[in-house]
Amino acid sequence: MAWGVVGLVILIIVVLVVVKLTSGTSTTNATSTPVTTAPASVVHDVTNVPASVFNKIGVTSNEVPVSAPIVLSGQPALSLKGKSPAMLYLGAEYCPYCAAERWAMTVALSRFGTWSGLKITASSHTDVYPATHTFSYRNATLTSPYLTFSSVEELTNIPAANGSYTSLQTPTKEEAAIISKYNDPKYITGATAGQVSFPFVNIGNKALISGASFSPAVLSNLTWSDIASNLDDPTNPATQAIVATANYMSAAICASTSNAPASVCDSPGVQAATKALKLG
Amino acid sequence: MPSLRWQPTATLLLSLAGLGISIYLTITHFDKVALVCSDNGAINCAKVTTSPQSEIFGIPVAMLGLVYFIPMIALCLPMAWRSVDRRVHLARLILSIIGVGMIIYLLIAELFIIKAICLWCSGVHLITFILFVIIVTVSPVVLARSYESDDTAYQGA
Repeated sequence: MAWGVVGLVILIIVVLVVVKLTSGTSTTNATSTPVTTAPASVVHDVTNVPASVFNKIGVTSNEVPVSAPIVLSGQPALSLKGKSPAMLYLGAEYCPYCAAERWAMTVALSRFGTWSGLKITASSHTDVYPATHTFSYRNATLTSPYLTFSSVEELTNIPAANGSYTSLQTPTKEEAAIISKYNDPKYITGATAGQVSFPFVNIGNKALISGASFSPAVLSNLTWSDIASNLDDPTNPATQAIVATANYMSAAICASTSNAPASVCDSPGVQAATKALKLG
Repeated sequence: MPSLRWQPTATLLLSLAGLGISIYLTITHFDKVALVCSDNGAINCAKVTTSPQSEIFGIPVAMLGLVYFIPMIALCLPMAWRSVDRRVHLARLILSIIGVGMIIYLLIAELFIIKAICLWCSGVHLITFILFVIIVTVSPVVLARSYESDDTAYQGA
C-alpha cells in the first residue's frame, strides 16, 4: 500500500515531465525582438553623452541603486590576443541584466574609442523584465588606442526547443580561461565555480562586474530612442543609473590604461568613481 | 517487529537540509539584488523566485517551506520517532503528504506556467519527495507499534 502511494506520486511526476517535454514547442513560438542595425541617432546619442552629464551625476543615482564593480588587487594586467590592457564582456542577448549593463558599457567605452557594428535588440520576451531594449555586441567592435575590448554573446534571444535559447558565440580558449579563473567565489561573492553568470565583465583585471549594476526595471517600456535621447538629462533616472555605472567602468578602465586619456580619467565624474572604488 | 535504523537519522538530516535551502530562498526572495542570468536560459534570471507563483495568498513559497520544515524537524527528532503517541507519527505522515502535494503543484507551475526551473527550488522538491518516500514506507511500522503500545497500556490498566 505504502509503495503503491509512492509509485503513484512518481507516476504523476513522470507524466508531468513527459507532457512538458513532448509539448515543448510552445516556447519556440514565443516572439523575440530581431537584431538590427542600431539607428544612427541612437548611436550618436549614446556615444556623445555630454561631459557635464558625466560630471554632474558622478556615481550618484538618486532613484535607482547602482552597484559598484568588484575591485581586484594584485592581479596582472589583463591581456587578450597579446594586447594589453584589455576588457572582456560575456553575456547573452536574452539576458535582461546584460541588456541593462550594455547601455553603461556602450557609453563608457565610447569615451575610449569608436564603436562600429552596434546592433539593437531586446532581451527575452518571456523572462523577467521582458523585452528590455538594448544593444547587441554580436558584430560590434571597439577601435581604441587605449585598450582592447572583446565581447561574447553566448546565446541569442530566440527560444530553443530545449527551453533555453539558441547558441550564438563561443568564448575563445583564452577568454574561457579568464572567465573560469575570475567567475569564482574567490573573487565574486556568491559565484559558483564552473557556473557562469551573465553579464560578466573583466576590466583589465582591475575590476569585475558580475550581474547587472542596476535593475533593468528602470528601462521598462522604454525604446532605444527613449533611453538614448535622455542621456543628456542628468535628472532622468535611467540616465543616472547608466551614467553612474559608466563612470565606475571608466574609472576601472582608467586604472588599467594608466589614466589615459586624461580628458576622461581626470574628469570629476571619473574621479568620483575612482575615489569610491579606492582605485587611486 | 522490524525496528527503524537509518530512517530517523536520514529524515532529520533531510529536514535540516530542506530548512537550510528554504532559509536561503526566503532571503533571496526578499533580497533581490542578485541581478544575474545563468548561462542556461532554461534555469534563468530569477524568473521562478520572482514569479506570481512564488507567492500563495501573499505568502512567499519559500516561507511556506520554513513552515513545512520546522515542524518536520521536530517530528523527525529521535525522541519523536521513539514516541508511542501515534499522533506524532500521524502528524509526520500527514505533513509529508501535504509536502508532496505542494511540490506537485509547484512542479506544474514551473513546467507549464512559469516555464522555467530554479535549481534551489528543485533541491527542496527533491528533499521533500525523499522525505515522503521514507515516511510513507515506514509509517505502517511505526503506527502499528504505537497501536500496540496503546493496547498494552489499556490491558495494563
